Amino acid sequence: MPAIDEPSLPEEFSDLQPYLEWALEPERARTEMRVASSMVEIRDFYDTVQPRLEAMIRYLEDFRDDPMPAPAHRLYLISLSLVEVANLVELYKRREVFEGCDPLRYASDQ
Amino acid sequence: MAMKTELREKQWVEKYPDVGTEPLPTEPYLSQERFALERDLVFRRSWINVGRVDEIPGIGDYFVRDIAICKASILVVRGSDGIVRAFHNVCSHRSNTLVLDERGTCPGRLNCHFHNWVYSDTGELLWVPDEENFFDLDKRDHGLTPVNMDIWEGFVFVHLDPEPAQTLQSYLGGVADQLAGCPFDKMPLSQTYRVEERANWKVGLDAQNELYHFPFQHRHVAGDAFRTNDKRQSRYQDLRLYNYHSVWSCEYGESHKLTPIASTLYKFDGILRAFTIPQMIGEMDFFTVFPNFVILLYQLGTSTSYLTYHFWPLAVDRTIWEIRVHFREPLSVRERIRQEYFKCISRDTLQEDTAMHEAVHSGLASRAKPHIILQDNEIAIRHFHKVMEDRIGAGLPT
Ligand code: FES
Ligand SMILES: [Fe+2]
Repeated sequence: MPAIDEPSLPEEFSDLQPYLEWALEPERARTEMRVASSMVEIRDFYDTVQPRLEAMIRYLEDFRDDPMPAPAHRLYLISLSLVEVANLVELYKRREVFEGCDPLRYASDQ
Repeated sequence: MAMKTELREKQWVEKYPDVGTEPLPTEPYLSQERFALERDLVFRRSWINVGRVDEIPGIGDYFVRDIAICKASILVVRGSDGIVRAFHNVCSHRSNTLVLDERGTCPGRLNCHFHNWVYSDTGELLWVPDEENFFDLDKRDHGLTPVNMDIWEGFVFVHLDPEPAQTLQSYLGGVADQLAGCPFDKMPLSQTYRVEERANWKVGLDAQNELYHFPFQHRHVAGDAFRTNDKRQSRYQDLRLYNYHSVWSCEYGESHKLTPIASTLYKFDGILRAFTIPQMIGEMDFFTVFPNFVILLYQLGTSTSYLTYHFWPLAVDRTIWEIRVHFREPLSVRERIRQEYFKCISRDTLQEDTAMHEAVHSGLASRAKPHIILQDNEIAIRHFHKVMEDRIGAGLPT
């Protein structure tokens, strides 16, 4: 949890505040979030974050050699959740892979 | 870019007429007897990849791999002398499994948890509690049991036969020649998936070992990713059949459309240093290393990387499909997110594959069909089964 007074996301990205619950790690937590979300929630998340991706990357590049401050790190994790759900919105247009197995069978070691 | 892929039909059987064109029997996917032969004549008598040396960079680092079909647990450890060795993960006292975790670092010695016999990280028996109470026990005779091991390009292979018929290098043959010097060590392991599938291990390997299904089964993700002819049928750029192994290579399709996320992630990120692998044949190369190992090299933006697959048979109808994802150290945040994106969209495709492997196995198990039928672009599958038949035929008592 962010300390008192510390913004949870970098100021420039305060519009993404409602999507803070997608700032998850490790990978498995993001997959679990995807599985637990409705398509309406996933689409809403995508529609807000995808247009900001370029700005997010440009912002984050400044921290690439240092340990990221916590707000930047949360922003980074949100970008990883975006790519986790990318196919659902961009290609499948539904919550599940077509004729696929349960995503949680892909148990990762991270 | 000029296309290197020839689109004509039946070109590969012309190159390799010996593999034949006949249908293949379905019984080898189902028979218990056959499974036992694969265990004794293939898995016990082939070089089996168990991992990479990069997994154990430091003195005392170890990992344990189970070759379940042979009921073997293999301990691979880097000793205090820096040398990597493989042992049966079994205590000399009463055969307890020595190391229980999958990986770790030992402080120069390994203790058995049963009666605390202690071994060095190079395999000698160092200490036996209450040694005086044993009968003529000479510790020098009771070190860990070594397993034949060799390393190729950082890949650790073991051979369960005490006297392997071939060296690893000659076993790998053309694969070793083609990939000699490949910078695998620049692309560290990023993620491992292990999926237990209700299918024979060869069903999954076969399903991966061709490009024919891409425009159909993977139509949503990768339908137009690879080069196809004017009828949208996949064609290989190259195909090579080796002594036991094979590689097929393909080019990416020109019509492949980038999604909004992909366009952002594949945007030029100011990094001019492209990372390419001169050993690659096409833009994606799928090496099948007999019997159960795959090295899949592919281009990804300005970078290149690879996946490995292992198909670990548990029973005739149960398999662990292990997928290892490797990436070079990303040079930008954009590249790092691109790697994650690639992993996620691959994982979606793999979910389609797992469901398909199980559906195919169910169909085979119904025994409705005595044969499977293969086309020219499924020639690597044919080659694999021919190698398998040869190995099993040669090992049978005459
Ligand atoms: S079995 Fe290992 S010390 Fe007894
Ligand atoms: Fe597939």
